[in-house]
Amino acid sequence: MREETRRFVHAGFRRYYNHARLKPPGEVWMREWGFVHFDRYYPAKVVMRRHKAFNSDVELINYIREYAPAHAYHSAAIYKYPAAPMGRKEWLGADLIFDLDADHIVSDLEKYSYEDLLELVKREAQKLIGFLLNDFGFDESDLELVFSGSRGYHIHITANSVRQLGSRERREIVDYMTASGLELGAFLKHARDGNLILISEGWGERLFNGLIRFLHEIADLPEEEAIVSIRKATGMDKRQAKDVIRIARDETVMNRIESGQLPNFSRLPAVWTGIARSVTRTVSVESADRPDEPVTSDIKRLIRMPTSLHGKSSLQVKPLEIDAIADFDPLKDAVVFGDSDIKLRVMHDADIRLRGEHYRLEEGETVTLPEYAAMYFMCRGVAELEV
Amino acid sequence: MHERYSYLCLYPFLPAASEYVKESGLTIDHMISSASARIRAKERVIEAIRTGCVQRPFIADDMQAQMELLSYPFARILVSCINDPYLVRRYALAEAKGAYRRIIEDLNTGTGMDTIHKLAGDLGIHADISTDHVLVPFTDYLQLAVNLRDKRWKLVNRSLVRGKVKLNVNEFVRLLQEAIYGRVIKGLPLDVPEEICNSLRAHIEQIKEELARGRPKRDEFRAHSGADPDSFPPCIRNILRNLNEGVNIPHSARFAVTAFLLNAGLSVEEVIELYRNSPDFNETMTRYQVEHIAGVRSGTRYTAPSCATMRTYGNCVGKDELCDRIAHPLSYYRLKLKRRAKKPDS
Ligand code: SF4
Repeated sequence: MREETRRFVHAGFRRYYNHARLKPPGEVWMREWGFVHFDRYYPAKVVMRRHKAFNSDVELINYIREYAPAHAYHSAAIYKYPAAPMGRKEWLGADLIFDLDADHIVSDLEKYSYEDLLELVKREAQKLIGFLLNDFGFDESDLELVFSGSRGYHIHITANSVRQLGSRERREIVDYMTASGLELGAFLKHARDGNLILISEGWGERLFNGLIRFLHEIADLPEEEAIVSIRKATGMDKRQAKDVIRIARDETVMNRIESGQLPNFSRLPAVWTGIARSVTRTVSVESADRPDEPVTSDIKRLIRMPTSLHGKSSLQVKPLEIDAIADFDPLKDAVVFGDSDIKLRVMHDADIRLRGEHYRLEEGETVTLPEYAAMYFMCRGVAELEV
Repeated sequence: MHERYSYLCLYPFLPAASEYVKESGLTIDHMISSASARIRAKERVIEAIRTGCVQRPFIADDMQAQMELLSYPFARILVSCINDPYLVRRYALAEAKGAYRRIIEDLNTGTGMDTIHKLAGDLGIHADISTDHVLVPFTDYLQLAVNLRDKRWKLVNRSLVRGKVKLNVNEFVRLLQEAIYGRVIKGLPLDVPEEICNSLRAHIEQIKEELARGRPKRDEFRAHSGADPDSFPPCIRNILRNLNEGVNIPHSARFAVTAFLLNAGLSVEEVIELYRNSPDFNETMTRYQVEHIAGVRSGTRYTAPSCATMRTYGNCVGKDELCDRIAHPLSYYRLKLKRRAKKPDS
């Protein structure tokens, strides 16, 4: 990024921060803050200034207005001494934070367009919200949903009841969402008559609904297709698949299954595990479950401040209502800059659809774009200000 | 006998119990001069070492109740004077188990539900208790179940509905045991003035002897197995040290150390012996797991995890310079054995 470009982008951020209604998190004074500034090294060398602390919302907002940072973060944790070095902060608790990012969800990012990635990650966020409201019993008002300003969503939960959870406890919550360590047997009970009873609660309910849905689908398919689909889901042989079809088409048996009894299924464990596997795959939340990259279990991590700007996209880290997510379009709703003309020199091919308009840039050309698109491309590092 | 009193003396770790002791005006001096409470305290600790469970006695009268009540803070003092991490854990676990058994007995005789209600309240656990199940907010559940390793305790395998985990009554009592363990171990070892420890020397010596008897020795380990623990890599030595001190270690570490030792030539029996010190040792479970890793049934023995895997799970602890030359803990062991064979006294 050339110096003129950086100055221009920085000035844009400053204008935003001077007018925006910033929404600092609760307990500002107990949090650690971290910033990346548009300094002379940016963005070649990104220096995160951590361990900052502010006494009040006003102090924080003044700081942000003065520096207009490229990136602004605060700790999920609250500390007694937030500005002290890590070992001496005295951890008092931490918000429960979920960080869903496209690169945790798909491994081959290049294959997808930015728009598609945003759709994918939105679906995961919706599943996650479903878990939080139904299984975990949170109210919508407990969840603060935020578009990350880039390729994902964050959910902050600040309720006192979760603040004291340690990182192993948080890991259990992640495991729940991702169905890690799920054991089907945990939801099966042997009834006195030798049949199995499915406990339809928690994951048991999801497995149960999945099983019913699967069997209904099978019953409606022509025999040959049904066999193929069963074999694909469960990996069993033709004869076993036929047994399943017989069950699916038998109304009395189906009625009993729908009331929670699984007749004869002990003879067909593969059905059960196979169906469970496919249900799990579709309804669990895909997430960065890599042990080297803990998500919500890291109780000392920093998270982007809602209402700040993302320095690599110029988009707003935008809070939104839970029921607004379905219609939320980050490439429209998180755009904050205006549409005056800006002239750019394109350094790399790139394209984006912003505010419903498609912009396709080719390396070497000079283009005039509305400010919001120009800011996006400059922040991405694919274009320089033409002076 | 006063009802509250007989309850508190069975669960002397409750805050209300220490309140009671305080209110009754009894001081440490009283305790030390109360020979019967002193002896009962020593019994508590010795029983913990021997059987892993401090049984609740039948309480005949107020006198005995008082002794029982006083012996608990006293036992904590004894444990603290010895100040051995293994003993601290073992003792706390044995107190918790003793309480657990007593509650289960009460359940069988029909008075248990009452106790459970009271204990949950006194231990600050939010629970909705009815005769056929107990509902616990998931946050309380997670904090209580976090050390339980069996898969059925994982949250993902529980009935979780609108923020509440549904448990049967016995499962809930198991969680009470966890809460009690946490309560007992909190603050241990206490900071006991030296004069007090000195005045208790006779008891302490007895406990120490018992302790030495109960604990497998490092040298025996070497003699039996033919393995050379001094040549083990730092990660494995660290896990073994934790096991020896009765620290509850994560699954991944158990797997690593078991597979490593089996690969290094230890027998299934020898490996099981190592786990005997674990505060929650369960022979059947341990045997099953060790045999599984050894491939007794399947015929395929698991290989010990590589350094990369050890690192991923946070089990690579104490890396030394020899570690830079290898990528697998077993290679470390082989290399070290070779070196030691060359320089016998290094
Ligand atoms: S580098 Fe390998 S052998 Fe050394 S401590 Fe780590 S895991 Fe163990």
